[in-house]
Amino acid sequence: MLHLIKKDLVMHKLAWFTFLAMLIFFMLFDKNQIFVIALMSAVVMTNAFYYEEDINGHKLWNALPYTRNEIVSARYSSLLIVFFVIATAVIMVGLVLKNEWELGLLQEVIGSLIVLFLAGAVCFPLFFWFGQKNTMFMLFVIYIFLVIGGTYAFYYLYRYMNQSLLPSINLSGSWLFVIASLMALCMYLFSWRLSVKIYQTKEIL
Amino acid sequence: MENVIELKNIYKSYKNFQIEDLSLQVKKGFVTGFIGANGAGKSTVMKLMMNLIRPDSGEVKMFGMDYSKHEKEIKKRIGFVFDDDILYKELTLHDMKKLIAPCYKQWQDSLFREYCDRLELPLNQKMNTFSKGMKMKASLVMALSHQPDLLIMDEPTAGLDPIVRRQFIELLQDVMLDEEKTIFLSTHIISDLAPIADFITFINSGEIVFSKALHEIEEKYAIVRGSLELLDRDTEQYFLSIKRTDVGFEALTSDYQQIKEVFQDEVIVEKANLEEIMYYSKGGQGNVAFD
Repeated sequence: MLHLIKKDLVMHKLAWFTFLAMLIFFMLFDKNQIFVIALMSAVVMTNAFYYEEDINGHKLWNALPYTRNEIVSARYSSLLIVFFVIATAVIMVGLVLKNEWELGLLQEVIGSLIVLFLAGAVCFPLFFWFGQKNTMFMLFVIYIFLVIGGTYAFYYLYRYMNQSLLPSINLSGSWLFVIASLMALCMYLFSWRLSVKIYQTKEIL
Repeated sequence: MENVIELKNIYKSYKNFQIEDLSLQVKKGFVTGFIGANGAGKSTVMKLMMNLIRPDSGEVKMFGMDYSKHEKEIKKRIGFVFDDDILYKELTLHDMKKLIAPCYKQWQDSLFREYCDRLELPLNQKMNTFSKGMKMKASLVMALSHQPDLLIMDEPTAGLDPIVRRQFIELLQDVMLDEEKTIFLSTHIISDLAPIADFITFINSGEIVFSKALHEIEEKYAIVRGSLELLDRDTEQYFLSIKRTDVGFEALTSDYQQIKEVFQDEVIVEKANLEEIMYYSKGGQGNVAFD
């Protein structure tokens, strides 16, 4: 399975430079880290799914000595690796551009992971369900918009809860992050299991 | 003889097509050609063999093992060549090798390079610049470099020019020098089978019509031509299919010798080739009955 994860990373090849350029572009325009990390991770994942659809990778990787469980699990694991790579890149680029750590950086990183977990939990099972069909392109667009919308929703929801709701119930912002992270993680794990079930019964055309 | 592939009582149903009670054995150490018209069910059967689709009921055994328990062990021993393009367009053949090679413990880089040299495949050219023939050759090299016990190929020579087809067939002939290897290939180009196939399996409308040794088919199947007066309920039973025309009949038999004895000089009997067998079995045109 490790090889499948590695494949998901190296298949982009020179496209990684494009991703880096996009990342710097967004950061130069002073976009929030939560937005840049979530969006760029989603773009990389979409590209991985797209490459597979483009060449009917379902047929290729299912004919190679891998189980469907491994193929699905590799993709879900890849998101974590891609997130880690992009988050590291954002932190590094941020350091270079602004020459300082931002205090809210950790919250932004965790926030982007929550958004990625939730969007992945919704969209990945659909990607496996509708794989090899023309609807895939539309699903990719929905996924990207879900991530973009998710970052804004998360941002404003956090601000509202932090300023209005949490003080009234005596809860700190950190608790909010812990609860949200756990919920997102549970959904992601549930989605992972669901995708394995879906893919195991899928007919590869 | 040991069977490498065993399909038993397979049922698989789609909206417009079904396979009913299909059974098939592929023998170890031989080349089996899988023939049939478009939509006859060749690709469906091959996907069943590769576990890309699963039967509604029935049993698929590869090397005597079941996919549900031994999926990886089975796939490690199979090399596949598909008819469609499954190589990453933006990668070079060298990149593709780096992706595929680690999937197999028994992958041999020296063998890979040897095949690439022999088939004149450039290692550092992107896949999207490869011609159809080069892509097929690349797929074959990938399939052979891990020294599989079984090679499954779906229409590998379709759309290839005669030179590439010849190279392809010659390479397969070399592979078969090792008597432990087995090849199962589907094709429309019947002439490709003659130099390499030991057995022929013919599928029509989801049913296996026959699965026989090539020499047996060549010896027994024949096209019979004669006048319509020769046909009656008794004589028609000697034929697998009959096509009536204004000037007489043409029929396919699977017992060349018997026809010679029954009709003697009243009919013209010619050995049938695989294309003719496919044509008559499919129904051809006109009034045809097929047992």
